[in-house]
Amino acid sequence: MRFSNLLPLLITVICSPAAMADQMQGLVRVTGNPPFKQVTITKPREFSGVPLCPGDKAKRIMNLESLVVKIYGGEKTVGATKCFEMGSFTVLKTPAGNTAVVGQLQQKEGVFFLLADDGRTLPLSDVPDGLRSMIGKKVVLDIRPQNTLTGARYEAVYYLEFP
Amino acid sequence: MSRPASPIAVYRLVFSLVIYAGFGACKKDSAKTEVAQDVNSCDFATAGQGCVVKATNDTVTIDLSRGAIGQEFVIAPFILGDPNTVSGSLKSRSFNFKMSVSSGAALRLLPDMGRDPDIDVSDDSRMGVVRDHDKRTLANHFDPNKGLNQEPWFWALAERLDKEASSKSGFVGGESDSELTSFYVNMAKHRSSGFAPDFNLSDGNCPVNTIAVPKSDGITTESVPLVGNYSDPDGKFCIAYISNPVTIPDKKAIESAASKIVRVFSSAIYADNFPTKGNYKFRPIFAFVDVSDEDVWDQNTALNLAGVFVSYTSLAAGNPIIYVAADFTKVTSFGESAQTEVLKGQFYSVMAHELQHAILHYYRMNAAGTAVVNGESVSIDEGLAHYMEDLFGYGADGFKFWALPFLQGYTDGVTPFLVGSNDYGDGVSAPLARSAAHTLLYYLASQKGGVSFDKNGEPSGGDGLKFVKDVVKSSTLTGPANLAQQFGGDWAITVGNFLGSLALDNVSVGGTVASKFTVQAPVEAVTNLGGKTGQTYGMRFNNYAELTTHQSGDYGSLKNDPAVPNPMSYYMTAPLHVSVTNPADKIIFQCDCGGDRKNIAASVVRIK
Repeated sequence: MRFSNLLPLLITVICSPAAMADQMQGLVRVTGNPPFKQVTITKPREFSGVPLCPGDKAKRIMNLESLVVKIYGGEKTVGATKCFEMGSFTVLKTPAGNTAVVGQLQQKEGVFFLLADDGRTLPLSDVPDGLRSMIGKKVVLDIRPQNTLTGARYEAVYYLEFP
Repeated sequence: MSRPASPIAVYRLVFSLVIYAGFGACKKDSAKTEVAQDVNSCDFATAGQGCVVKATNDTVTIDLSRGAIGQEFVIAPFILGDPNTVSGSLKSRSFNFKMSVSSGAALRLLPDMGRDPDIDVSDDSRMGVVRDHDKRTLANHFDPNKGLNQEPWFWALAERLDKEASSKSGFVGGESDSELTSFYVNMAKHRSSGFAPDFNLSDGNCPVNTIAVPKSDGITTESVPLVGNYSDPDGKFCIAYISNPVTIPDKKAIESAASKIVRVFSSAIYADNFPTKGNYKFRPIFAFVDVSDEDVWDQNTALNLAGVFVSYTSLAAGNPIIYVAADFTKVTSFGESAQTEVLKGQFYSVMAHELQHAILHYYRMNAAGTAVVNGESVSIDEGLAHYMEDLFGYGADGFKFWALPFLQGYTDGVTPFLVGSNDYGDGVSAPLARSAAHTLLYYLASQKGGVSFDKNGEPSGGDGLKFVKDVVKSSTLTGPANLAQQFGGDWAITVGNFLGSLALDNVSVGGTVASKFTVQAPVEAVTNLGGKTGQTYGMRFNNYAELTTHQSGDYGSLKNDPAVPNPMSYYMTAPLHVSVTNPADKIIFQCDCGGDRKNIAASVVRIK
């Protein structure tokens, strides 16, 4: 079989939200009318994908509707339906498609900063009231670098409390 | 009727742009105006005209140079994002619209043009129905498989209802301040007991002697005896009388109403016989029960409902089951001690409303009838159900309960004009959420051609009806993407025109209002489910009074200080009322929207 014949299949596998058995990545889409409401991880701009198993940690990421996440876990069969049992997850992109930074929001001596999960300490400027109310909490941010008189800081252009 | 207890926040505002040039020569003649009225032309030739100005990158620049001193506009900036990925307003609300004027001209406030404070709505009545429907929402959305892991909005809504019950003497008194919440917590903790509905089904799947009703644990059921039953000879529906009906005591009338609902849904609206999917047969069972009778119905206040379609019990039974209160005076949230005409109307409209939920549920199920594969977002699902009530002649009855609160509230920069699935009950009250969708659906259906009614006062067709049907039957898309595809065209312009219609529909502005800013005139020749003729389908957007707009100060100073009425999300707006004093200036909105630049726009309509 020629490689060109395999190409569509390869693309399909690579782009699938469930490309690997123990993890998947895609858009969080909250679909269905409860009690059948479910969290589905889809490829961007698609509406069907891999449903998360109900009644588990899936509810945590319902607040991340329209964000892109990576989920670790494994396939499971509930009744006659296959679903993905979520173990843990990371947030990758905001609804705007920008890279998300996750960490704990802290304040010291009047300066807000994010202790990011990746180990960075990111000082923040122009912190909006809504974000200020999340001090001490884990948050999801979309940040932009800013040059200020007191050095490099970051402006949070999108924020959400980590679920 | 009394005024609403909650005062309506009337913001007002204006600012003026300083001017120098004459602009009469720039005006279009009326003939050109007529030609341009339904295209996205920003000539603003006469009051009642307008357009949607889309952003370049993240900035909307509104050029009023064709305007003239003294003209007034309502401008509503918004962002939709990508309809394929953003389902409505989201939990995060961090967007700001920074407003500026090109010259930094000084502003002044225009005279107050606030909303008429004498709104003819009884707050108690409205809240009563709202509360009842919220409770039905809880019952509909409780997923026993999730145990205590219900969605966050679910618990938030339960707690809000508990607070409401404890603070309002007109509502049913719970034994504690958290009775509703406790009820569902109790149900959630008993999830492992399993659900085993008990039906004795006759030929055609109609219950004859007993039927299963939900118990307070929310999982198990109790088999209760029937005092009567009816099997539609055509096999279209069943009626199970757990209790004898009181609000509408005439069983023949109930059978007639059920028959009409099913017939109209399956013929004029959906043109579908709803074939069996696997073991799921779409033969709805309308079960009437005295919700105050502890022998046949759980007495927890959470189940003191006017009606409810419970999906999981329906799937287990293999038929959609719609439980309806036999006596609406026993639905304590209504607060009525007599069988008023309103209650009688609600009795029937609840039947239609809940059946619409069952129909959407049916269409979105897989072929095996075992699971929903592309469920609709909650607000659109509810909006569709309210829309369907209108088709049966309850438009005027429902307006003050549902559309009115939305129309009064959407300008606050907090209430979305379309809600994401995750927002339901989370910062946005359920009535506002569903009414936003209801109102939007009515606009879209109107623009597609509206709905026609036959000589019998029944919906008979119309491209607007087809549009709604296509939305419900969508086999692929959901949410805004579904609406956008079924409607066609540019979604941002469509939504912007909807916002324009909220400002202009049925308003006297001294000129012809472009049809894109109007909705179908209410049809007042509908025969409702009680056989009463001359009832209403539809609404007018402005019949709640004038538009509330925001003061320029709400957006911060015009020196580009970023400040908005509230941090916003997708599908939110805070309209401004602008008076032109200098057409040479441009009004600029920069959307600081988390880097999202998709579908940023502003609706601009001339009102004077």
